Amino acid sequence: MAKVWVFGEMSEGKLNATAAEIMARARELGDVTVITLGAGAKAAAALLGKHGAKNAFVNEDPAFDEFLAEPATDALAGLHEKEPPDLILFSFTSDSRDIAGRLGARLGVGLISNASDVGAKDGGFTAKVPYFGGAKVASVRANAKPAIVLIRPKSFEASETGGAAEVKELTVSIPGGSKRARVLERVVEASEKVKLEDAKVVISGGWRSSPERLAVRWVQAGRSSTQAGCRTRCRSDRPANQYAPASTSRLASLVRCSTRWG
Amino acid sequence: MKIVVTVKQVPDPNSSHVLEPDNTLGRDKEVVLDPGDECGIEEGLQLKEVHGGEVVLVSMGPERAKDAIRKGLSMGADRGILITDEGLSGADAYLTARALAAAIKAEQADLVICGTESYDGSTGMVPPMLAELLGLPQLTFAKKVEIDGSTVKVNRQTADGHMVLEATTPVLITVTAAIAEPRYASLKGIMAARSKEVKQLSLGDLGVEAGERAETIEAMADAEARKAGALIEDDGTAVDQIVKFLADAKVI
Repeated sequence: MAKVWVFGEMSEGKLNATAAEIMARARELGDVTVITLGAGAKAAAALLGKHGAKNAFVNEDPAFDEFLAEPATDALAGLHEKEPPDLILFSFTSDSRDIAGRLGARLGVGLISNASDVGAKDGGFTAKVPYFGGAKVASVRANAKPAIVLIRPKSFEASETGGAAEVKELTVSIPGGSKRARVLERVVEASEKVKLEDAKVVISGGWRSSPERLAVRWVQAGRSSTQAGCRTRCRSDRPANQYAPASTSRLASLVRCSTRWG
Repeated sequence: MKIVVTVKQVPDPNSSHVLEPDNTLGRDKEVVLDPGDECGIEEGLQLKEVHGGEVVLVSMGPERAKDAIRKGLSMGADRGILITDEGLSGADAYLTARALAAAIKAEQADLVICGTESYDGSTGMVPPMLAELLGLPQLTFAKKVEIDGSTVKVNRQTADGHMVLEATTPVLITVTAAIAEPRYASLKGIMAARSKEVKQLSLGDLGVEAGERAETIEAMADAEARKAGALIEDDGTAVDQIVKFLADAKVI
């Protein structure tokens, strides 16, 4: 069986949901060891055990929460020295991107980023990577070992298998030289909005097709709370994927409406 | 303060993209300076205006990528370095990072500014790899940067707000498009850019071996075609029809 690691990204004691999603594929590819670092790591490891992880390495050193990327890179590189895996899976989220990039360079193996799937092939691993807004999909083979692949959120559906991971403490020594990018403060900017990727249903349309009317009806039907968002081109020489948020009175009235009904 | 900004020439986002038989992106069409990098250059220029120093643009690409550097120079950057070599054709993120790191190391920069990811490759992996290879801390996804002496403070965009991060120079930062509105090059700037230095370096000059690629694109396929949808003409009942459609599909 291939040895597969899944890195469970922690933020303020909470496990990023993508790790459980990745487990759905990882457990098909081999024996999975999860690594969770920082506050809440033990509880997160136990949770991932229910999703099929056989083993877990945890460490709740506060340095993992106080400093970006480097302490986690040290911990993973240290574990790699002792028990090298065949495949390491990260989520394609900010903190994991920072860590995976450093690890790929430190181990000299590179990595495959922004993947929507990963599978075993010819004794190695290939990943599917969407390009051009998803119009093309590349099959990319990792040539080095371990293969490192970053998986986009919502690529798989998380499901519990009912198992339990054997949780071990990961011994790490984080050198002072890795405590450099310090997190001074985490600020939550007040918003009741659901993130687009977390929305259960997205209604969209052009101005003429008036998705707002549809959304209002939906809310009136008592279905759920609704939120309006708008993206508009801000400058014609920017690529289509760079938009600035805009607000209009029509959208504002919808937000008010949804507050009332939601 | 010496500021290095990494820049990349990419296919014009407003043009159609053509893949070559080897699955690299055809670059004989219209190409532009990556719009994300324009924001990095702007931030570099604004920091230089306050703290003094020099803004150096470093790029990797074919010879015509000089045009992208020249655009940044016309915005006000001081000089450019282009790494160009046959051995870099189709380079992956790791090889790109190794080549850039070799050129940037020689510059001894206080601050390295990168975009979060390129418009075309979108791996977002060159900056953290670069930070590791240069031995620098990284402050990523910055929407605001403040420098006080050797202390760099950054507001990092997060899913639900921002983090305040701090490190001391030398440091690598990645900036989002929210960091600064890029300036337009003035006529004076465009004229001045013509005489600014753009140094060209090969892998041999940098002492970098291309080596085996860390990854290989085996195939490139069109994404599964979407099934044709139903078209509803709005005769005043469209909203009801769509709600019924969604309800029948048990979506709502």
